[in-house]
Amino acid sequence: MKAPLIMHIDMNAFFASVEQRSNPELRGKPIAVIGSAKRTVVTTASYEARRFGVKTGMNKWEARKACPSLIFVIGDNQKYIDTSVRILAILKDFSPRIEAYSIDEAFVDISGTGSLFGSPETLAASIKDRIRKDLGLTCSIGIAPNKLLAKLASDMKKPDGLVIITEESKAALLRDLPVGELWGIGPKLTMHLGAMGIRTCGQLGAFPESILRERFGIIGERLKSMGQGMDASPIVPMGEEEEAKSVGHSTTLPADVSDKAVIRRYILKLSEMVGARARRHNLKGRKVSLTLRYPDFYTFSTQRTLPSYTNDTHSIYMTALNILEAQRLRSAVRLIGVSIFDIAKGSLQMPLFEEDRKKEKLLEVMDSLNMHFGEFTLTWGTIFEEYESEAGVISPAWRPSGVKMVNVK
Amino acid sequence: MKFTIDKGNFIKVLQRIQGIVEKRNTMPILANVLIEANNNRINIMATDLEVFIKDSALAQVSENGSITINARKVFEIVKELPSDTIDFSTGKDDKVSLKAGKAKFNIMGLPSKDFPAFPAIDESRLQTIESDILKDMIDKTSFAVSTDETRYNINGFLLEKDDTTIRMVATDGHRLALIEKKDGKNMPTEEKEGVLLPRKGVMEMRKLLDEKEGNFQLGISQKSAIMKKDNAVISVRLLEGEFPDYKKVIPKDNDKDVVADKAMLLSSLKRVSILSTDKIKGVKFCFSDAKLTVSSSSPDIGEATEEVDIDYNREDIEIAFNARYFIDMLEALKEDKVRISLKDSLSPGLLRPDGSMDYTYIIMPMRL
Repeated sequence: MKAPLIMHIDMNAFFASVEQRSNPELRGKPIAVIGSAKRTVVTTASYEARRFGVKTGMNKWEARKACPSLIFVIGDNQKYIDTSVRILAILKDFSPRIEAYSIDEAFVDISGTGSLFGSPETLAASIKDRIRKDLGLTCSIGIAPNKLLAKLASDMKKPDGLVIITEESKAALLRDLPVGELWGIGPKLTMHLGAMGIRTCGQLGAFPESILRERFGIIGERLKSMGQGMDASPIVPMGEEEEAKSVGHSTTLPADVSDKAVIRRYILKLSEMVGARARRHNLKGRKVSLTLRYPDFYTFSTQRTLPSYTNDTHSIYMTALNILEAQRLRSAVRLIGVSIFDIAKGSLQMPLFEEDRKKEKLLEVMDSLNMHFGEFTLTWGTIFEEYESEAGVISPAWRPSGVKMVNVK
Repeated sequence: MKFTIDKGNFIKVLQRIQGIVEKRNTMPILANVLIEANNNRINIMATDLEVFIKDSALAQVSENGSITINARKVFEIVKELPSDTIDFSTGKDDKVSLKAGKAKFNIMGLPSKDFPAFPAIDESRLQTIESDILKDMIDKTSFAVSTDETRYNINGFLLEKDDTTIRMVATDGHRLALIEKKDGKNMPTEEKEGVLLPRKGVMEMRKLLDEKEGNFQLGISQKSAIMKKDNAVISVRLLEGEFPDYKKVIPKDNDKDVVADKAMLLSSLKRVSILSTDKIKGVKFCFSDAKLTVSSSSPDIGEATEEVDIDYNREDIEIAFNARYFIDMLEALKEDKVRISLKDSLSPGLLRPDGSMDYTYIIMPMRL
């Protein structure tokens, strides 16, 4: 077997670049894409705008202050989705094993493609060339023995970069690399690691596993191997995604929350996301689990088995609520996840009672509207308030096709 | 407290209460059984706050008193004790000692004053009912009760009474079972239309019906249903909630009648459903002239078909049902022939014993 070689492709300033491609007047100018007319948060800034210090997450006012000539463009999700699909089609010409990781990122398994496309450098150049010619967009490419390092490599040089990390070069690179640069280690985790005296990947990789495990639970083991640049997660090619074993969504809250009423609202929103996705793929689950993570990363999931398979938002929500009500919260909550598992292909059993049939019909209508007009176009009254306060931005977990798992860890 | 009791008698009363002792550790005392010694009897009581059970047994009491101890442990111990009689006594700090032959156990108890009180029974409401009638009603409906805890209003049995009829109804939202008994004059209910009996409580009542024969006393009050036989009493807290309007789902225009031999249909369905997709037992029914073809298929395993002779002479109908729902009803049916009334492939099917209207079972089909 050939040594594994993974490529990570990260489109540069994706939303902004797509807008600049489709409107020549915007090319070469500082632009910022915002969620919708009412929203004021910058989702992506073009490289011209970044030079002025405009960053994702700034509000309109801050952005304008940083760059007075900034042009605001309202995002057009359909355009981004179409472009994303075309990029994946290009990648498919080079390897059948492609994992669409998000709307503007993909992993490609290029192990053993040398005889067809030449060295990794040559292959990367060909791909960049195709994307530039066909779509007028640039990307950064990272090539490494695994997904973790490939992602790290593509982040190292932007825009239009190409970085290759090998088994031989990784140790030197990781030794002084801050842990926060690693994919999967966010600011909070960085802070917690920092408190333990771990600042670099080198330190993380050399840290005693037992202590990490005690502190972070099951992720502790994985953290250590991440520090060593090891990652065994496989590429899951499009169309080969496993028959879903679970359908789940989780969300890290904007701020830690201890108010059960607020938690309930998030649970409803997550239940609706889970239910809608399960219904879209005609899947039903018999077990519902609720995951809560506390600020200290203590995480636990509780599950409950239902007597019959369901993908009905309301029963997922009610079951998750039952689990919540049976808990005594240790403290405020940092992450909430809802999932259904023990999955069966949707039953074709019809409900006996008129009101149940109406409910089924309602969910059907709601789902088809949301398919056409975007997630949460039509939603439950209770989550409306909460939803209002967030940006109408396409989910980073967006995938082009198939049932994908959004893992709750 | 101090008494000596026959091992067999003690086991019997301890066994009866095992089913309802609280397994979840919300209130530690609910894992216990209350034992009361008084006038040469011991009274035993357990509860999960939804269902209360009490019973009593003969014993030689030398010192009256009461205590609570872990119900599971005391049952396990008594079962294994080596001799036919057991000496039970309490000591300081709610300690219980059990002695039999050369074996001796000391167990920590909890004071009986902390144990929930048994709900008061209004003896005037109790009326006699024949155990066979009640057993039959429970057996023909219990399999249809929903166990989906998010649908609490169908987590039990609807018990209804009018001038001449008592009626029990259960549903899980996909099928509904309804049984009526004409001899309603003995059935006591509250003034209100009907009451909802929780599944667990009814199943406890069912166990008691099996253990003892003859007439039982049954009473329904505002909050609870009570069943009594000799010294054994079960009190069940009624469910609150509105049972769906079952009258609306009883089909009125199912004009295509099929009569089939129950035993033959039942065994065919059991065979054919082996190959229906594992979790949801969908089976296709094709009714044609004097012949029913049942078939199932599972993409990964294979397919099965079987023909069953029936009485039928209308146009062909193709309809799919969850075989489990069919089998449940046929197994509960005592008659030899079943009448299946259909309308079309998307409307509910109606099953009844041939020639009788007392037992009604409705199944919603699956989409083909």
